[in-house]
Amino acid sequence: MIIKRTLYKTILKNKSNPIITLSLLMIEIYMGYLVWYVLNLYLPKPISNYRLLVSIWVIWICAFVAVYKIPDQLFTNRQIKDILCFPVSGRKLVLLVVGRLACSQFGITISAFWSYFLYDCTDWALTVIVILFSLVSSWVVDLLVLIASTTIGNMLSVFCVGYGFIIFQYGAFLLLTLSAGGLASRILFWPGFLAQMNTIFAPNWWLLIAMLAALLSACCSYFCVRDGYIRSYLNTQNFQGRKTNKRIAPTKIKNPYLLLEWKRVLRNKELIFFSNIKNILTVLVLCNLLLQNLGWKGLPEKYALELFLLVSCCGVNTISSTAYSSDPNRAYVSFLPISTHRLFLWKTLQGFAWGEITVLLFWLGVTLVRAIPMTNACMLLLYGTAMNYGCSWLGVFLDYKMPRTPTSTNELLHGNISKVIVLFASIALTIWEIYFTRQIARFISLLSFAVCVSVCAVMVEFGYWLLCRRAFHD
Amino acid sequence: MIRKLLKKILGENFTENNAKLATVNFAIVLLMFVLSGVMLFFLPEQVSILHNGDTQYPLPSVLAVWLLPTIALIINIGFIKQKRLSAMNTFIFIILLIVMMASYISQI
Repeated sequence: MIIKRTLYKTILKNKSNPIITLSLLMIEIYMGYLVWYVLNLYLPKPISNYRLLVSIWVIWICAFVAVYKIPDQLFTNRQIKDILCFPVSGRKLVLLVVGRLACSQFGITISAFWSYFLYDCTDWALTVIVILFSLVSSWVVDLLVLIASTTIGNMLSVFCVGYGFIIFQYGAFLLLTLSAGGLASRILFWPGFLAQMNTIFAPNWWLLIAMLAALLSACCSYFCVRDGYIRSYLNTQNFQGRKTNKRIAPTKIKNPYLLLEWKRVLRNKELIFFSNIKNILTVLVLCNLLLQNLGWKGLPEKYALELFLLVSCCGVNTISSTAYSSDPNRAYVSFLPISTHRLFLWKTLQGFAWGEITVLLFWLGVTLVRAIPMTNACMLLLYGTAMNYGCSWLGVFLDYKMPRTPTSTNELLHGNISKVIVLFASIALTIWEIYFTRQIARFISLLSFAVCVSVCAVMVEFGYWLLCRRAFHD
Repeated sequence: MIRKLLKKILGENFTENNAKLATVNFAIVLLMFVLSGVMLFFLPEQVSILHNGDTQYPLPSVLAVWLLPTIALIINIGFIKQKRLSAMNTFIFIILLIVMMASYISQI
């Protein structure tokens, strides 16, 4: 037991602490209670219908944790290399990490279901079967992720295995998000959908199927790990991006700030490619949810949906929200003759330029599909462009004021805190604009008001940059 | 205890400033819990946590008052785990505290 704990601490730099553990426990108990209370209070009875819904949520959360943790802890983790010279088998390492993960998933499942028994304990045996089904299904997902990761590590060459893992993690994350968003909107807005699902779902049979799947995937993963884990791990550790020996011609740099930023963005291919795909999908999911009601069904204000669409495009700009945290050159800025004040401007302009591509794409799509008149289409474009600058500025500013250390291993959530704040702020502004034109100043059209507000926001931000130079440590 | 926790999590990135900021953040979260507990005596039996146009979604005060402090706690743990402790985060917590109090006062 002590050896296992030491091994776990060594390979994962275990950071468990009573404060964190207690806080998490408290949060889980509270959230579990709140979920069942809301389901019981606001959704049609009987409450037993929602066991399946909660079960799907649990599997979704556990799958997300598995996709996030297994490749990070078992394949891209550099600590494992240090202990491979000791007599520790790969199988033992995998069992240790997956076992701990399974324990945390057990905790998630129990916290999600515990308060159900406060409302209904007439058929507790069936509820226990549903809980077991969720638990076994999440273990099946763990094993499938393990098999997929081992296969990626073995099948891909040392030059592209790293990209393979990024695609796998991001792809699975997007797939999970899309499926969860689709399912949530169906359950909330299609009457009878959940009842139909409950008729198909026979807990006993589904538990049996899940157990068979678990057995099968356990066998497969046993052989996969025995024969391929170490090779896969070493292959992943040897991954290096392809380096070209291109000779660079001597050039005169006219604008070092533009060059620095241009190189930063181009160096992070992940930032351009995966983030933009993720952003476009996020915007689609957001707008799908907005379309499917959430209070905006039959939007009374003209162009409210278009404004939401454009503001979502502006809010999810990863290039600006990671402007400083994804810049390794930042360490040299303090002793080079570089003005941080001007650097901030160029970071904002770069984020703006890349974000404008998404804005233009969505603007073109929405103008053509909804046949918007030319004048209003131009105003929408002006709104999108102004908000794009405003959101880029805010994203860069937040990333500048909330720096993220480069030693963090948390790549999947990279830059998301600044992005979430920008998204919340921009959507809140749009909601306020709609509220203002509906309730307070009914004579003003929403579109013109939104354009004015966005232009004012840009002027305020630019003025702050121009006048408060000390805020940027110049 | 908080210093020990930060030393473990941040390793080489641990500084006096980090320790101070984390302590302040935890103190704000604790203050949010305490204030929510106090406000429980003044709030009506049910408070609205969400509204969809004119439709309100009320919850019993005894359950709803812990929602914002819990969210603050989740955000704080997220900031520590992501190694993003800074004065700006502390400012966000102060804003959250003000928003929480304003929402309670508006419902009294």
